[in-house]
Amino acid sequence: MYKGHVDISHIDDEMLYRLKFVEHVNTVWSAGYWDRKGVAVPDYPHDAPWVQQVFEGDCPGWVANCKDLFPWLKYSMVTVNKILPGRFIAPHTDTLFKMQQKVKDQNIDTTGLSPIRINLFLQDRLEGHYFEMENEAWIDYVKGDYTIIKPDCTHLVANLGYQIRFTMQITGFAKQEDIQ
Amino acid sequence: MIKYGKLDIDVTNKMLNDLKFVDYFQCYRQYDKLHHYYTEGNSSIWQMFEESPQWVHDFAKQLPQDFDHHVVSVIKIDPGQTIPHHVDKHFKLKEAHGEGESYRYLIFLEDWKRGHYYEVHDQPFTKWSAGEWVKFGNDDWHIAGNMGDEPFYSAQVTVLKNV
Repeated sequence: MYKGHVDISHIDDEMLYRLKFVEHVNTVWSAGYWDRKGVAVPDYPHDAPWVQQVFEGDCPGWVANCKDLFPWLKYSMVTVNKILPGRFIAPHTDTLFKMQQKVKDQNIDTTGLSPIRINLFLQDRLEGHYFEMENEAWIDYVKGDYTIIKPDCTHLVANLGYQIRFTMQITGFAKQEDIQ
Repeated sequence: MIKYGKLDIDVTNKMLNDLKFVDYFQCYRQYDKLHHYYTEGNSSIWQMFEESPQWVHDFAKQLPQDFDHHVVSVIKIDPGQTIPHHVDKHFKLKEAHGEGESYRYLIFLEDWKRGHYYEVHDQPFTKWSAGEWVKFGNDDWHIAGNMGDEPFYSAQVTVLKNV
C-alpha cells in the first residue's frame, strides 16, 4: 500500500463538522462489485452501508485548495466523505465515474496518464475507524496521511467507533513515475 | 493487561455451519453516543452459551490453566453488524462462582477475512489466523465488527480465578 503525507494542519474539526453534505449514498450494491465477482450481494442491514458525500462545486474553498497539495495529479476532482458510527462503505473497486465523465465531456487528452484516487485522512485515526485495501489494513494513520487507490484495487472503509469519520478523495490522472 | 496466544484448532466450515444459534440480540450500548448511532439494525449478533458444542468447551482445556471456573460462548457477527465499544463485566460468571479476577479469551475460529475487525484499547487487530486468541480483562474497552461479506465467528472462554 502506498503511504504518503501532506501537511493539512490548517484543517480543524470545526471545518469538517460545518461541511454540508449533499448526497447520502447506500453502498450495498458496491457499484456492481459483487456482480463482477460473481457472488451474492451481501445481506447487509439497511442501516449500515451508508456514506454522506459532498462533491467538487459544492465544497468550500478550503477543500478545493487541497488539490494544490498534489500538483502531480492532473485534472483532479475532489470529494469529502462523512461516515457516521456504525456505517461503512462496503468492499468495492472505484469506477471513477465522475472523472471519466469529465474526461469525455471536456475531451481531455489523458495519453500517458493513469486514473487514480488519493484517499486523504482528515483526522488522526480514531477508535473504530478503519481503512482496508487489497486485504491490507492501515491502522495507524494520522491526519494528513494519504494512500493511492488504483481503479482495480478492492477496498473498504468503516466507522465502528463513536465519532464521525471524515476523509477526502482527490481523483485525477497521474504519470506512473509519480505513483510508484 | 492484554495478552495474545494461539491454540491448535481445526474448526471446519461444516462445524460452523452446523451451529444452531437461537439468541439474536442487540448489543449493549454503554454510553449515550452509542445510543445515537447504533440501532437494532446495525449492532445485533448471534450468540450461544453453555449449549455450545463440545469442541467449544474443549478450548478451555487448551488455554493456560490459570483459572478456577469458566463459561463459554460462540458469537457470529453477520456482515454489516458491529459490536460497539464496550466492556464486559462477567456478571454471570461471578454470580455463579463468587468474586475474583476475571478475564475473557476471545478465540478466532477462522483465518481473518476481508472486513472482519477487532479492536481492544484502541489497538486494531486484523490478519489473525484460526486459533489465535486475545485475553483481556473486564475493564478493557473493545469493538468488533464485520464489514465483509462472510460471517465472522469467534469463541469466548470467560475465566475466573477466585481470590
